[in-house]
Amino acid sequence: MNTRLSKACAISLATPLAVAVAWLMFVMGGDMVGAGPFVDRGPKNSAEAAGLARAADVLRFLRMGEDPHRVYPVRPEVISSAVLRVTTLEAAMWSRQLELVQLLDDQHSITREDRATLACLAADLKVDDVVEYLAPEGTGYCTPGQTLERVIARSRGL
Amino acid sequence: MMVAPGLPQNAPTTTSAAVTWLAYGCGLIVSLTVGHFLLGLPIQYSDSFGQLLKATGPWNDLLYGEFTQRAYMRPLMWGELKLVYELSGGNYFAWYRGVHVIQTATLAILFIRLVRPRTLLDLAPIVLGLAVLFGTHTFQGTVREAFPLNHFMTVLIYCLLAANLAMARYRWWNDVLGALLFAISALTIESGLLVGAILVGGALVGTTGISRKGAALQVLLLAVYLVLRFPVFGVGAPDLIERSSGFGFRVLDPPELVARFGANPLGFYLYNSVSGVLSVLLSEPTGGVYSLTRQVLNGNFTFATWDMFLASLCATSLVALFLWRRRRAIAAWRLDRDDQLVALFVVVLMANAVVTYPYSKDVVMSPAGVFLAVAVCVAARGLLSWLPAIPSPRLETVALAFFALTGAMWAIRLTETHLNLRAGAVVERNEWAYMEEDASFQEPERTLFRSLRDDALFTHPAPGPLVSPLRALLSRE
Repeated sequence: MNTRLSKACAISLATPLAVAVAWLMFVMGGDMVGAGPFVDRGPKNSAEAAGLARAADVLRFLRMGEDPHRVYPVRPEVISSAVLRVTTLEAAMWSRQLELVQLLDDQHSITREDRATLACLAADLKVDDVVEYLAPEGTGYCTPGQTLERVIARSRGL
Repeated sequence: MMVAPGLPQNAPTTTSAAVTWLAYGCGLIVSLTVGHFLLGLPIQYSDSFGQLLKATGPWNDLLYGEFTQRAYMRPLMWGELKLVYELSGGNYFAWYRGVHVIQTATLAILFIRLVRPRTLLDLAPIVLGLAVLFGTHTFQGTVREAFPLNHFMTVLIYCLLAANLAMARYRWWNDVLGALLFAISALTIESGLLVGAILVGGALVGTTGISRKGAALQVLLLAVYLVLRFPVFGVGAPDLIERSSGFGFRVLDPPELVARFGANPLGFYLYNSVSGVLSVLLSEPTGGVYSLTRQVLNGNFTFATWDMFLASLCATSLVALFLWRRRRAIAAWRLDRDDQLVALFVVVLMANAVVTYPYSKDVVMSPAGVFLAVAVCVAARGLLSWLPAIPSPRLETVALAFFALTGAMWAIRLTETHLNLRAGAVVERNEWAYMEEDASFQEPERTLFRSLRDDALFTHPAPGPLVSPLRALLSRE
């Protein structure tokens, strides 16, 4: 009787499955303690959430009291290595999602003054539907590239 | 040490209690990982909100209303939903997701109880069986479908309860329990009729749990169900206009289905049944759509589709090898316990294919998927015990490679279930972010909406997506 073969086959069958289950348990443990290399801990503030188009997280941070007009630090992988300090509203322009901008508007986060500046930024980023939403009358008052440059310049001061 | 009944001739005759507990431990661990990822999933808006809103109505309307509508007759689905709603006291997430997690663990326990481990070597097939149980594409809908209480999952539990009952030692009350189980299951959702197929099929293949009278009672109950559903209440069956369905290389909308098959839908119904069988055995098609074939024709492959196909091919090959190895015993109708379990899989597969005739939907085939897991576990166990008889070193290498490939493919599919749940959690949560409270909402709609939205966004926020190379690899895009 070649029981050695049976054992070898059972081990070769079970090993990848055991590795998968162990990995899932490791992730589960990571979730529970809030750490672990495989879990994306998500955005750290509302600006990062907006930059990543994570609408649910934007709402959560706003509910926690964050101000959408305040400048927050943003990790380089969220928008770009040149844009590291933005407001939540500015970051939402980089999400390129009209729905997110509308959501922030519905939350009364976008004031009349914001609307003009954000429309210029959206125009610099060539997000046409957002420009149309924020400035239906057009963005003739914007100096092309100026708003974008101002946001980038803020990051250079770091 | 316990004596293990119904063993094949070459199997050991005793079961270590430690092996049994280890097997249940494996089942609980795997099901708890699924449960943990389930708890990251908010109660979805689509379907769930409407269902929960309906559950706020009085019991009578929910139960009796089902007998006066068209296409579906699911009074106990609403009863179960209402029961948890009333028990929850407004704590919807904890109760509905909690029940879902308990159901997942129950499924694993009933699975282990059915396949009965015997030796330490059996643990490998059992873990494979668990991976098939939770990793097959037909299972995904039982954890991802947007219902507060997943009635497909409920029916899977009823089916495994029925199989455990069929495989048990006979007691007179088994027939009564079987009849009750059929009634509850059939009135929960149409797939519940498979409980009858399992109990009657079990009696046909020689299981001892249900007597012939009990099996006859099941047939009688099925007849009563059909009479009540069609001539008495006029509920009928879903027709082509009810929902979209896969056909060929794409999904057809109801108007397209009506235009194409409205005059004579029999060919379409046959397509759905055949596709259901192929889907369980080969993961191709899925939802009635032949994605892999389309990819082959277009020369555009994704790893995920191939992994599904290869994993299913390995699993089906195991069952086919088992049937080939046992062909003489089957021909002489001398079926041992493992033969009976594989035979039950065939019965459920065929019956499930009949149930899925109106449209192709993977989750409708989930009972067959569960019994595929049972059959694969039993077949792998049988094959491992027959391996010592292999005469050639070359065949030994092939066997070793085959088992390693099977394990690896199903490990990936099990992981995929979890990755899908986590990705789904992020999507569902974002969906809630964009949901606006309708100005026309009255009580209890308004409170329910706010409660579910707050649960999804603030009280039970979903964990972040997993950062894993597997995530990109398993993407079907």
